[in-house]
Amino acid sequence: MNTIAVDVAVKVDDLSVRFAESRHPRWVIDNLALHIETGVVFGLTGPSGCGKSTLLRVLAGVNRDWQGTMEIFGRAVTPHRRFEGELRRDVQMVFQDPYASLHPRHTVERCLAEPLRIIGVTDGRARVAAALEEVGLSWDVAYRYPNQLSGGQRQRVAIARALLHRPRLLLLDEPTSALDLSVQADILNLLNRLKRAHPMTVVVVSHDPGVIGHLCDQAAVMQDGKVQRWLNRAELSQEGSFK
Amino acid sequence: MGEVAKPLLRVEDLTVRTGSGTTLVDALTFDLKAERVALVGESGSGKSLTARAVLGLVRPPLTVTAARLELNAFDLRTASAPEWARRRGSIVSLMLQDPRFSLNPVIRVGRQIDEIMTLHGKATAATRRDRIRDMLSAVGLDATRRILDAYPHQLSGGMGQRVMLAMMLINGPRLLIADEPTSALDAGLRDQVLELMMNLVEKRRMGLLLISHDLPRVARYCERVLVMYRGRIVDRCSAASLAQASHPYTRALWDCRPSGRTYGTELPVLDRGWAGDGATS
Repeated sequence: MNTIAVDVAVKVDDLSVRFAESRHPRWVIDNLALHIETGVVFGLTGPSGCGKSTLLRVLAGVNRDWQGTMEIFGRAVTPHRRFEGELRRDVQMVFQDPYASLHPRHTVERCLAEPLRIIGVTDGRARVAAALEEVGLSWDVAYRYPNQLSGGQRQRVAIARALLHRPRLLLLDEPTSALDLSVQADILNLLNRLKRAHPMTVVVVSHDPGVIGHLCDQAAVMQDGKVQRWLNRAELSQEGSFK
Repeated sequence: MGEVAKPLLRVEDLTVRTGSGTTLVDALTFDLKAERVALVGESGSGKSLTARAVLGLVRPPLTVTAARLELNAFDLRTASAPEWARRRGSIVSLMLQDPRFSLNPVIRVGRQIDEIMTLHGKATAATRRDRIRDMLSAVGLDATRRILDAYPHQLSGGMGQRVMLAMMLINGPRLLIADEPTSALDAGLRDQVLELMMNLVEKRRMGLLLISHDLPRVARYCERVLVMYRGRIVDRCSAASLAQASHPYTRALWDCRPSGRTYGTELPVLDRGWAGDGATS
């Protein structure tokens, strides 16, 4: 075992997740070990149903029904328990479909101010304005509803919300697959820019080898709930070396 | 086969406007023979609306006008509802993005394929059964009870899209319009489904209008490309020369795709205002 635990952002061992509701319970994640160093952009890829999104939801604390051991920034997480303390701010997630992840009847301003209000921030308005500016949106959009935004704008709002608490671990679930290629390029540039401005560890799930190759320092190719292959930067650069 | 050289679809000055007079599709002119043509552009450029206009599926308050709109030498501009209904699904078919939304969720797959034949012909039940079996095997599925008795949600994305393809081709249409047929599938399946589609279209000497925003795939699978921007065709070129396209908009669409080689670089983005940029539907 390595003793430099400080440098490990995510440390998962013997992780298993089972979906029990069907007649044939199936291990969606099967005895998986994953260690991600601090500051790395880590990619999870593989075909539909390989368990990559489930793994991300476990890391986010959304799916709490798992077995094994998990530490995030050196703090142990227990199955069936919500994240506690700083972890709740330290870990943030951006979902695939920004339309489904923003409340349809809340304005952008309300959607961004809410997480701040919950933790008792008083200069909410200034922080919201700063967050919007950071993702390349002007204050004009603050009083719009999600349906009045384009797909790319919506995803920017979702990213702004995730970054409000200055997370140390940012989880991205197919952040661009609901977007056009040209809008995807905008969002990928934004993510790279934000990563440079704020030191974070990022875990990104995508089925698109192009997105993984563009964003990630390291990646894992998953298949049937297991890691089939680990990829370093050199392998990620080789076009067509993974799918 | 005297029709092969003649255009299947002739479109001249096709224009779609909203009730308030905004032009969404602006004087489009193109012909389509038994060939594979791609209509590319971003969301909101009017490519899906063009497809719907060609199929007579544009409803008020939107209005469609054209100097010419012919399918198989038939003037579509004055077609009545029954005349449209006879052609849709038999001469021209439309394949949509997500099979889970384009198949009826509460009817078994086998019955849905059967229905499209009963709507457009008088084949007996036995003939229809044979044709379903042949068609399913052509798209790489076995006509087992597992498939035929399945409801759409029980099929995987790739299987669902194969079923859609079978349904759309079973009446032997001359023209297939495929609107982003693979964007709901993962990367590996996209190529499988497109390859299958291209094979079948070629074998049956059909015309294909493929709507897509994925230029590298279009370059691989199509012959000609029409590039749309804000309702207009801004560039026409052969698919093979897409990589060397000279038009700045086509260039930008081609270059904005990320890959392992673009790591650490800024991807080129299109220079456009955010206001007019519609949402992905």
